[in-house]
Amino acid sequence: MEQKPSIKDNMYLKLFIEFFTLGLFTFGGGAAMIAMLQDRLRGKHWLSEDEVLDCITVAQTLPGVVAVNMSVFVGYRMKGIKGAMVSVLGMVLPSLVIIILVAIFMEAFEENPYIIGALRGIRAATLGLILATCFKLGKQILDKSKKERAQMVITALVFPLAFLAITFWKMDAVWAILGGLVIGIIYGLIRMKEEKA
Amino acid sequence: MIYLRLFLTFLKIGFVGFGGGLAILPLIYQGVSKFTDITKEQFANFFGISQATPGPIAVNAATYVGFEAAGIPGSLCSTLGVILPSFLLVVIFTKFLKEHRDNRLVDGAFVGIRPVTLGMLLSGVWFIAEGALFVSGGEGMLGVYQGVDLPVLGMALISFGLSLSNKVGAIQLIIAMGALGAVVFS
Repeated sequence: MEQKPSIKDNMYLKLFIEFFTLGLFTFGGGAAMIAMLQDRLRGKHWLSEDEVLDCITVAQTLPGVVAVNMSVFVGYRMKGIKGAMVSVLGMVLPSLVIIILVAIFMEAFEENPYIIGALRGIRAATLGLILATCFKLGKQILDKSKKERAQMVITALVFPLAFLAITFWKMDAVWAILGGLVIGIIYGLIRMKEEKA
Repeated sequence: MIYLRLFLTFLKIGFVGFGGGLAILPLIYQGVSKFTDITKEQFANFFGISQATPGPIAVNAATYVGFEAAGIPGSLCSTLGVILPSFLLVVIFTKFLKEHRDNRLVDGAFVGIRPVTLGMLLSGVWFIAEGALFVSGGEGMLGVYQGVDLPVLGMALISFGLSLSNKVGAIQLIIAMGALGAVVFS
């Protein structure tokens, strides 16, 4: 007996709804989007934990909009080009509607004390969420690198250096990424040589 | 033609923009001030809006600028422009990863870049904390932190704990803290 697939099981629809929800509820840009996506994908069995980590790494490494990069990555992995299109559409649709409404009703929006209060609360939640995500991803990255001493050393050195350089020395993130890339490739080359020997 | 120019301007921004929304904003101002009559004040307004509206900041900026310059069709053109580079680059790269993820050099690159992206994320925490937690002094003392916004700090710590223990989903947390803020701070 074959069950008729319900519309709810349609993966395209699921992708659209997921990214529409993310676009609607994420305040504060790329870092917040990473925290939200990491939380939402947990327990969904769409991507493995390692793939989620890859997604976050790739989204921050490639140029473009971090949130859009993530939606394309997940959409494409799940359902190819069409999946990527549906996910991006879901991600940007709330922005389009809300920004146009805000541009029209700017003043009423700016002066409403409830909105201002709600935004302070949302900013607090966002801050906690991103910090929690840093801990979770940090643990995951450390666990992965425990397999090999060299990876541990790279992680332990590069992470604090990147944080300091971007935050306090105002280094452009591109240079930090290129630095990580060079170190990583050198590590890869050494490992290849060792395997040959 | 304004639509094509909006599209091309934001296409360029999408290709060179690195490191997320707030880093891209100055780029957007440079790009659009060349050909539309968007004032510095309008753009400063947008900076406020970007903190107060959901969604990717760069997409919000593209929509806002496009709308101010040429209405709804304008906002569609600029938004399409800013997302197209992301779309193409990620599709190409994901395809490449599918076949070469296990390659020693590719895996090595991930090992090197992963801690950098973690540093970027923590830097984002720092940046948001500066804006949200520290109350700067009155006029004439701009930039001098006078104190910490304790209620916000408390709510942030509770959110951190709940999220770390995976007890509450991210969206429920945003809604709950937003509602709490609307009641407490209004």
